[in-house]
Amino acid sequence: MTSYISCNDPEAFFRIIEKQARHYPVEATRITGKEENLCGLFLFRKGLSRPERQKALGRVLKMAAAEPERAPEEGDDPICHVPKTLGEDSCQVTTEERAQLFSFLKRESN
Amino acid sequence: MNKSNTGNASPKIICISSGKGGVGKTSIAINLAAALAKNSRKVLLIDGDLGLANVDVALGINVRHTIRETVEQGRDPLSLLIEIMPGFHVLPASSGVPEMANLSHEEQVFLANTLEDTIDQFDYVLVDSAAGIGESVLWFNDWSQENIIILSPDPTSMTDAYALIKILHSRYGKKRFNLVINSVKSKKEGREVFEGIKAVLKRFLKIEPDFLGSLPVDNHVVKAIRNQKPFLITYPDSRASIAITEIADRI
Ligand SMILES: Nc1ncnc2c1ncn2[C@@H]1O[C@H](COP(=O)(O)OP(=O)(O)OP(=O)(O)O)[C@@H](O)[C@H]1O
Ligand SMILES: [Mg+2]
Repeated sequence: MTSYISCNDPEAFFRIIEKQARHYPVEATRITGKEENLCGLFLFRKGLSRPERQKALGRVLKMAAAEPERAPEEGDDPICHVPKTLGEDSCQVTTEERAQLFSFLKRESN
Repeated sequence: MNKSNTGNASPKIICISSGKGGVGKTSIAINLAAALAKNSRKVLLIDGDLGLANVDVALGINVRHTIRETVEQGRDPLSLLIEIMPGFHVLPASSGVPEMANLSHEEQVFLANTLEDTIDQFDYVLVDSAAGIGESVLWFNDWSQENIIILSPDPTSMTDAYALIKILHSRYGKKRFNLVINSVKSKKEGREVFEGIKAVLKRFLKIEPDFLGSLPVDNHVVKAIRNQKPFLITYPDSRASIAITEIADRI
């Protein structure tokens, strides 16, 4: 069993993401609130054109605007929630995967 | 793994793990570090088995201060380094300290920042990770730019290596994996095991792993651990030494 890192310090998490982003062709932009506290991050693929970036931001704003109506109907999830399919079990090795790993091994020993 | 690392650029951080225990991570990490140092590279080997350290034992070094003091007291990791041979330093961990195997989130962040301030002077940073898929294993793998996965030609080792890769891919977005097949009877067997797991990775995860090479079953590996010296140094002409040198040339 692997556990997710559990943590109640979202700012620390943002800083980790920001750090990891340096290893990828992405730009992380801080979204700060009052007194410079870190509210979130925008992550963009590097090399996006200005219009592409504006279009993407436009979508986020639209989603944010629709949020007050959406939430009561569909539940309280934040607008950019992690897809539900990414649950704890999504990494479990399936029987099909095992079967293929083992089929190769059986061929080996013959 | 593409170009070798020389000089000024920031160090290449490579995590060595396997899922299953006892497949040769520590032996390979130590000798890879020695091989790189022999090639005039500056290497730091971090004992990533934070709660059950092994690197110090395998190298016969007497450790007084460990990475635990960095985590708990903020001690400068540079003051903990032990030189094994010119160009090869070890950052030792503690043994029998379960808390160290389960660092809190804040401790992980602190350790990452501290290590990043320390490693500039090296060309390579190798992490000998713990067995299993615990938090520290995943964390060190995530922190590293390159991931070497060790497996042997046996079903449990192959399954565990596959499971580890699957987790690192689906949870951490890792795509590049460098495989070393240890304890093979022949190079041919090493290649076949690699092709076997590669087929499964390609089909189910759409990942194409890289083959770094294989290491033969070689009694010099066992003897070297007992002598507490890298086999590359004590038995430079052994088959294991020749194989590890080839692997070092590829990273
Ligand atoms: N190629 C090899 N030929 C012969 N013996 C080997 C070989 N590789 C490893 N061994 C032996 O297997 C044992 C385990 O090796 P090692 O300690 O390097 O594994 P490990 O993966 O680090 O283990 P752990 O998961 O406990 O940290 C040692 O006794 C070592 O000498
Ligand atoms: Mg070990």
